[in-house]
Amino acid sequence: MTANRDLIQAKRYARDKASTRREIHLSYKIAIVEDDPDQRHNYATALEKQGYQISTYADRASARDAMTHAIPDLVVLDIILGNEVDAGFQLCRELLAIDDRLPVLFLTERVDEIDKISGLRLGAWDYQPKPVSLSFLVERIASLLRLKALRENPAPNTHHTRKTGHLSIDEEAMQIHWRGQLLELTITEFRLIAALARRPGYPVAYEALMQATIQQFVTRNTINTHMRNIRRKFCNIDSRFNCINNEYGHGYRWVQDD
Amino acid sequence: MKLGSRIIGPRLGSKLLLTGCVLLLIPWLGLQSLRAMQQFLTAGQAEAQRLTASGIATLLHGRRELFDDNPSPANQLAELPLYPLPGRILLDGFAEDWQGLERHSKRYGTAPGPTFSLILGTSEERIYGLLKVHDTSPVYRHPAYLRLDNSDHVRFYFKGAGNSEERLLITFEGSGKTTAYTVDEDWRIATPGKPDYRLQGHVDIDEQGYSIEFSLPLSILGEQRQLGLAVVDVDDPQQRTITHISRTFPHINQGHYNRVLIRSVATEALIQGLQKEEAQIWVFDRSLNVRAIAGGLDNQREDYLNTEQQRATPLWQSLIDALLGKLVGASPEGLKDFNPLQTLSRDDALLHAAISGVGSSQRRPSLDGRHEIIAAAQPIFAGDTVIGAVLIEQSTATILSLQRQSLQQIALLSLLSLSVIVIVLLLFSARLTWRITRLGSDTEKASDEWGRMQQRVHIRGIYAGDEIGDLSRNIEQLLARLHRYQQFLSAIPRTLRHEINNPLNTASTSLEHLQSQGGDTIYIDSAQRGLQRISAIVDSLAEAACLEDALSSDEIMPINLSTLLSTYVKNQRSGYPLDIELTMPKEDVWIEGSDIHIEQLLDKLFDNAVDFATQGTNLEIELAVEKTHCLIRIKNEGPPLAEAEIPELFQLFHSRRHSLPTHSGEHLGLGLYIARLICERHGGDLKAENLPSHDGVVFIATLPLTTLVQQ
Repeated sequence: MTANRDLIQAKRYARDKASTRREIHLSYKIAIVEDDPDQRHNYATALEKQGYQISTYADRASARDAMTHAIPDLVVLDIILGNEVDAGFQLCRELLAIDDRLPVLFLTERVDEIDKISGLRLGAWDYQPKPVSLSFLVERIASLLRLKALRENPAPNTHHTRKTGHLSIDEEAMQIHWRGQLLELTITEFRLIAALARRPGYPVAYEALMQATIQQFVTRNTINTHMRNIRRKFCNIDSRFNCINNEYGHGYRWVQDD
Repeated sequence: MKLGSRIIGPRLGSKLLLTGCVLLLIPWLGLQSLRAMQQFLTAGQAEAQRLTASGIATLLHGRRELFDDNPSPANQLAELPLYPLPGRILLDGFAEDWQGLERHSKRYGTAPGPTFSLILGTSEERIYGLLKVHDTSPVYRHPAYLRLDNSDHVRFYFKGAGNSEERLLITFEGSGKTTAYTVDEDWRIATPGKPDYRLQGHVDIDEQGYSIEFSLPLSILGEQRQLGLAVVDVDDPQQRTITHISRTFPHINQGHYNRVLIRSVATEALIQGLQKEEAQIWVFDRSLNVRAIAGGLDNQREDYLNTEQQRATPLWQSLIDALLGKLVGASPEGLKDFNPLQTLSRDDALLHAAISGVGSSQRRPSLDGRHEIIAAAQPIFAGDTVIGAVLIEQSTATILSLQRQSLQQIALLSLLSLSVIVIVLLLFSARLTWRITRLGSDTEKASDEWGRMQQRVHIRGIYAGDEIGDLSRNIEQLLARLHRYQQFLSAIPRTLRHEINNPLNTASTSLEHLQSQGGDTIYIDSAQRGLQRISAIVDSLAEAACLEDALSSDEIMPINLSTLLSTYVKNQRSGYPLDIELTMPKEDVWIEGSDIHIEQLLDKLFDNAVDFATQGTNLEIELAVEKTHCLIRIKNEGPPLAEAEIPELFQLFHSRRHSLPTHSGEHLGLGLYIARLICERHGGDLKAENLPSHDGVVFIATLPLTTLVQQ
C-alpha cells in the first residue's frame, strides 16, 4: 500500500539524518528550562547521551541570570514556569535581546494555535507541543544546531537542492524556495512539504504525514492545521498557488503545475 | 426548537385598555349630574311659571266683564267654531291650505235636502270658510234670468252692526269665481243690483257636488256675532224651482242664527303686554273656552333661509345632534305644539283643577312628542267665585339647550381627554410591550436551541430605571454569569489537555528511556498505547470544545461537494471491507464552507455507518439537491435506532456503541456531536432516521448550497 511505503520512507529518512550528524555537535551547550523535575531530567538524560553539554533551570530568574553570563548554543523553553504563565515567552524575549541568533525551541503543553503563533513571532526557531518523543526531540535539536551552523558559516552552492517544478527543496539548509522566493517555514512545515513533494501527483496518506512531523501523538486535525498554514505561506508569495490538494478520506497530494 | 405551547391570553396592551375603560365612568357621572340639574331647573321653571300665572290671575281678578260678554239668549244658540288659521287661505275651492283642519268640518242637512259640510276659520281679521255640498245634479245660474233663486245657491244670514239682519247670496255659473249679492227678504232680487264684493268665493264642481271657499271680513259681524248658512238646491234645470233648503241653524223665524265662537279681543289686548318669549299665555272662561292667547311656543316660522342652512348642516353635526338629543331629550327641530281645535277650548285636567280653585303645574310632552312643555294654571277669582283660569305654557327647550351645550362641552372634553388617555395608554402599553418583547427576544437570542450561550449576549434597555430595567439588568447579569460558567465549562477540556500534556510527556519520555535501557517491550508498548489513547481522548474533547473557533477562523470557500464526495468514497473503498454505493446528481453540487471539516463530517458519519452495518451488506451514500439545500444521505443496514434515542443521538457524550459486540470503550460519544456541530456551523443540520423497512439507519446531513455564482 502507498501509505505504508510512505511511512517506511519517512522513518528511514529520519534515521539517516540522525546518524549522519552525531559527530558534529559534541561541544554544543544546550540549556533546558522546565519546571517539572521529571521531564527536565528525562530531556537532560536523552540529550546528554547525544554528547551535548546540558544545563537545566527550573524558573525564569535563575535561567536568565545564568544565561546572561554564559549564552548557550540552543535553548529549550517551557512556557509555563511555576506560577508564571508566560515566563517562557518573556525569557525568550530577554535571551534574543542578548543574542538574536540564538535558536530557541519551545517545548510546551500549550498546544493552542495562538500560543504557537506568538512563540514563533517572538523569534523562536521551533515550537513543539507536548507530549514529545525523545528521539524526535533529539532529531529536532540536531536539525536546529545544523541550521545554526549553516547560517553562521554560509557555504553557498555546496549543498544540493531538489527541484520539483517551481519548488526547490534544500534538505541541508532546510530551506524551500517557491518560484525563487524563500518560504519562512518551521521544521515541521519543512518536513511536511518535503514529504508531500517527494512524489508529485501521488497522494500521501495522513499516516505518512503524521510520521513526517516528528511529533509524538498527531491527529488528522493537526495535519490539516499544518497544511492550512503551509498553503497560507505559499499564497503569501504567490496568490495563484494551488499545488497542495486534499485527497479526501486519505491525505494530501502535491500537484505539479504546468 | 421553540414549541408552540405558549399560552395565548389577552396581551398586555388589551389588558391596559380594558382597565382604562373605567375612565368611561367620568362622562357617565357628568351626564348624571346634568340630569339632576335638569330636574332642578325644570322644577324651578315650573315654580316660576306658576308664580307668573298667579300674577296674571291677580291682574284679571274681578274682571267679570271680560268673561261674560254674551247675552243669555245667544248662549243657547248652536255654535259655529271659528278656528284661528296658521295663515291666509287661497280661495280656489281646494282644501289643501286648510292643513287638515277640514277634517273637523261640521255636517249639516238631511236627505232629501242637500247635505253639506262647513268649516270656518279666521286669520288677519277675516273669516274664511270651506263649504262642501253633496249635489250630483247642480243647476247653475242662467245669465238670462234676473232672479237669483232659480239656480243652486248659498244664503248667508248674519247680524251686522246694531243687530240689523243682513243677507248675502252666492251664485255661480260653473267652476270659478262666485258672485255675491245683497238680496231682498225673499232671496230673489239683488237689492243694489250690483255684486257685493265683501263676500268673495270660488267654486269647484266635481261629480259629487261642489265646494266653495269663501272669505268675508270679520268686522261685518255685529256684537252678537251671529252667522248662519243655508244651501238651496234646485233640481230641475227647466222648471228652476227650489226643491230643498238645508240650514246650519234650526229655525229661520226666530231671528237667530248661529253664534260664532270667537276669543275675547279685550282680554287678548290686556295680556298681550305680558307676552314672554317662548311662552304662551292662555286665558279661559269657566267653561274652558279660550278667551285669549298671547305669545306662542312655536316661535319658528317658516323661513326658507333657515331651511337652506339646515340642509347645509354636515353629516357629523346632525349625528352629534341626534346623539345629544337622545341623551338630553332635546330636539334641534322646532317645536310644533299647535292644535287648531285647542284654540277654542281645552279640556286639560290641569285646567279643570284650576277652575275648581286649585292652581298647579305639570309637565307634558308637546303634541309632536319631541319636546317637553311645562304648564302652570291658576284660577281667576271674582270675589269667592272662579270666573276663569290662566294657563302658562313654556317648553323646556331653554333648559334643554343649556343642558345640551353643557353636554356638548362635557362630551367634547371627555372625548378629548379619553382619546388623549387612550393614546397615551396605547403608546405606553405599546412601549411596555415592545420593551418586554425586546427583552424576550434578546433573552431568547442568548442561547441556541441546544442551550449553548451565544458568544456575545446583548440585552438592550438595561439603563431604564423601572422594573423592566431591573429585569433586563438581572437577566443580563444572569446571562453573563451563565456565559462565564459556560466559558468555564468549555475551557475545561482545553485546560485539561494542557494539564494532562505534562504528565503525559513525563510518562512518555520516561517510557522512551525505559525502552532504550532494554525494558520489556510488551509492557512498554502497551503503556505507549495507553498514553496514545489518553492523548486522543483529550484531543477530541478539546477539538469538540474549540470547533466553533476553528471553523470561524477557517477560510470559508466554495467547495465542489460532488468532487469531494467521490474522492472521499474512492479513498474509503480501498480501506474498508464493504462495498459503498454512491449516487450523485449529474451536475456538480457546490456548497460553501471548510472542506476539511466536511471531510471530518464524512469521517464521523462513515465510521458510524461502518460500525453499525451488518456484515456483508453495502453502504449507500446519496447526494441529492433541493431548492436551496443539498442532502447527504448515508444509509447502512443494521440494528434500527430506538425512537427515544434519536433526539439524544447528537448530544455530547452520547454513544450507542455500548450495544456493539466489538465495543472497546474507545468512543466517547463525540463523533456525532462534532458532526452535528459541523453541519450547524455550515448553516445546515443533521438528522437520523430509521429506514421504513426497519432494517437500517439513514443519517441525513443538510447543507445549504452556495449563493455565490459558480464558475
